[in-house]
Formats: sequence, C-alpha cells, structure tokens
Amino acid sequence: MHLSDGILNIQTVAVTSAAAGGMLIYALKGMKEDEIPKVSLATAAFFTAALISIPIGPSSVHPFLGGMIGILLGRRSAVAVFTGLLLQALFFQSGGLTTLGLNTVIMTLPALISSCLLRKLLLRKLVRTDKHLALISGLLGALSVILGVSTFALVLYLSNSIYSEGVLSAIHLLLLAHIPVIIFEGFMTTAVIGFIKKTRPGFLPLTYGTEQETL
Amino acid sequence: MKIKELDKGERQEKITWISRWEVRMKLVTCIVIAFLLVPVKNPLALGGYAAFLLAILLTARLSLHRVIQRLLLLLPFLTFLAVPVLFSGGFPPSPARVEIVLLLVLKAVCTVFLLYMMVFTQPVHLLLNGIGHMNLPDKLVSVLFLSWRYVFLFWEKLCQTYKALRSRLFQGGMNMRAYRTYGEVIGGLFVKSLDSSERVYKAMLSRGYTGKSTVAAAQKITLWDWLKSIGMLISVAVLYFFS
Repeated sequence: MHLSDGILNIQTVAVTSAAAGGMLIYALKGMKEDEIPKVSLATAAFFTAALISIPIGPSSVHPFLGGMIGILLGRRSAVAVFTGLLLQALFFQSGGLTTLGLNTVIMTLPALISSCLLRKLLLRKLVRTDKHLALISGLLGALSVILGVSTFALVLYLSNSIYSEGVLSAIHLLLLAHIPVIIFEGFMTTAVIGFIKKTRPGFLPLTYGTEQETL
Repeated sequence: MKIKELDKGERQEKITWISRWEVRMKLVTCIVIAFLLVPVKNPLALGGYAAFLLAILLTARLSLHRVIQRLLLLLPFLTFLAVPVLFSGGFPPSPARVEIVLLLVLKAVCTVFLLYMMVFTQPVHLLLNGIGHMNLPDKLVSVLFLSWRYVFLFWEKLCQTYKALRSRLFQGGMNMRAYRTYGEVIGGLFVKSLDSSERVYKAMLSRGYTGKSTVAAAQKITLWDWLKSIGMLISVAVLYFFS
C-alpha cells in the first residue's frame, strides 16, 4: 500500500510531507539513547517482514504491520515507519520520494491510534488475559489497515477526482483489494502478539498490569 | 531481486562523473528535482526529461538491464492505478485520461531514474556516510545505520526459517494453520530483534557510543560538484520552459 511518485499534486505533497515531519519530530522528542537499538532492530524486522509475500487467492499480500508497530513501539512508531519506508523506497522502489511523507502518515497514524486505543482499553481494565490481548491486538491490526487504506483513498480523492469516477474507479478497487488484507492482518497481528506475549511478555510495553507505564 | 545483491552485483564500481559527484550534493539535487517534477503537466516535455535522465544514467555506465528491472518493479502498482483511471469513464479513454496516466507513469519513471542515480552510483557505505553528514537528527541517522546493518542479518535468519519450514513440508496456503505459522515466523523475527537490541546497545556502549553515530570524514565539495548540481537544476528549468 505504498503510493509511488507522480500521483499526488503539489499541495498534497506539501501537506503530507509537513505532517510526516511533525510526526517524526514528535517521535524523536525525548528518545533516549538506549531506545535507539530497540527502534532500529524493530525497524529492520519491520522492513524484512514487509518483504514476505503471503498468498491470498490468486494474488499475494505483504503484512501492513501498522498496528503491530504501534503496539510494540508506541510514540516511537514514526521513526521506525519513516526509516523502513525510506529504505524500501531507496533500495526497492517501493513507494517514492515525493510520496514518502504520505506513506509515512498512512502507516504512522494507524500505529499511533492503535497504541492509544490499547492504552485506553488497558486503563479501563478491559484487557485481562493473554487471549484478550491477542484478540484486541488482532482487531487493532485490522483497524490499522482500514485506517491506512481510508487515508490513502481520501488523499487520492483530494488529489484528483478522476480517481473516484465510475463504478470501477481506482479508489473502489483499492478498497475492495484491501478487504482480504484487513482479515489477514487481523489474524496475523493476533498470532504475532500472542506469540510475543507467550515467549517474551516483557517486550510488550503496553500490557495488563503495566497500564501506568508511559511510552 | 535478492536483498543480498543490494551491496554487490548492482553496485556501480566504474569511476564516472556521477560516481565522483559528492554524495550530499547528489542526494540533495536529486531530491529537489523529484519535488520540482510534481507540478509539471506536459507529458511530452516530461517524456523528453525521462529520456534525458536515462541518457545520464547510461553515461554513468550503469547496466540498462538493471535499470529496466527496477522499472518493472513499478509495473504492478502503476497498472493498478492506471487501468481504472483510463477505462472508468468508458471505452475508448478520453484524451484527458490518457494525459493523466501518461503524467503519472512518466513522473514515476523519472523518480526511479533519480533514485537509481542517488543509490546505485556509489557503494552503500559512501551513501550512508554522506547521509551522516547531512545535519539530520543524530538519533534518526543512528536508527538508519543500525537498521540497514540488521536488515541483512534478519533476512538471512528469515531464509533459514523458510528452509526449515520447507524441510518440514510446510506449503503455505490459505488456512488458519498456515497463517498461524506466518504469525509465529514474524513474531519470532520481532522477538529475535528485540532480544538482540540489549546486546547491541551494550556492545555499542563498550565501543564508546555517546548517542551519535561515528562516520568517516565527509568528502570535500568541489567546484565540479556545484557545477554538476547547477547543471542538473538548469535541466529542470529547461523542462519548465518547454512545459
């Protein structure tokens, strides 16, 4: 779901680049030295995991990982997302230079929302067991794809109305094509967070019993 | 293309005017050009500029085959957007729609050429060293350097896991069991990464890490580097004139 260059108009490029810059500044603010290896290695894992193609019907998808990054890195998500996308654009031409801002926003926004929602649920003591945590993480993973693809569609619509014209418009196809990705991402995030909780519970900064911990 | 090839086969080893162009000047020039191409609305002029950029890449003695391979990576995404834009208004497509699609494709192609120029005309360590001297936030640069280093390590681990899965007759597919396996593989990747992060931090501290990545001395920016950058920016001015 990375937008390549040539699609956005100059106003959209300016606004999304500024928004991504703001998110990056917010993420870097107060970042401690000992967090650098954690964020870096999570970025490398995110970059590598995004290269895995998983078959769905006649096509294949790669994990979106927005929700998962939010749950694992919280407010530092923008650093991991921006670095991962920069590496993907530079070395794999996945995404682009002028769209790097938008692609960062598309992935960081769901990550931050997922992290915030999970924290709220934990504070209200709605997550009490490992199963709850895995299931809610799965829902947040699915929600992150919905949020990301909706932002993508909205920006396409604002950039040029031609992308929304007709029954088989680019936006309609985009939304339809992501339905299996939403379902897949939900299952995937459930499995990944369940696995991390089972093997290294300490790696999840947001979990029941540690609700007061701030990121 | 395999991830391992990124620092080997594809890299330009021949000394040409582009490989001698100072990395920071080259990066800034290419990024500025990419942004300057956004408002261009003339497909013919843009086509001419794409041909100009390709000619420049060829003067750097880069493999045309590799450049085409890079362009092919864009094909699925461009097709996904271009086909509905062309035909959602009926058949045959109107000239306005054809123009939009041409602009979309040509801008994407130009940026691929610029990215290729930025990344594949010098070894990665020189590229990263140049980025390290661009006055970006230290923490961001540290994250970029470390991530780049660990991508290869994780990719190797992932390939080993894949081999192990295949040896146990794992065939993937669309079922809950397969998805759970994929989830555990990705989860394992994150666990390994976070497991190693503490060791990496201790190793960094023992080597005198103070929150700033150490980079080699920056290349000197010469008059020739300025001339190359100005020349490239003039080429965009010519493009603006014709469009």
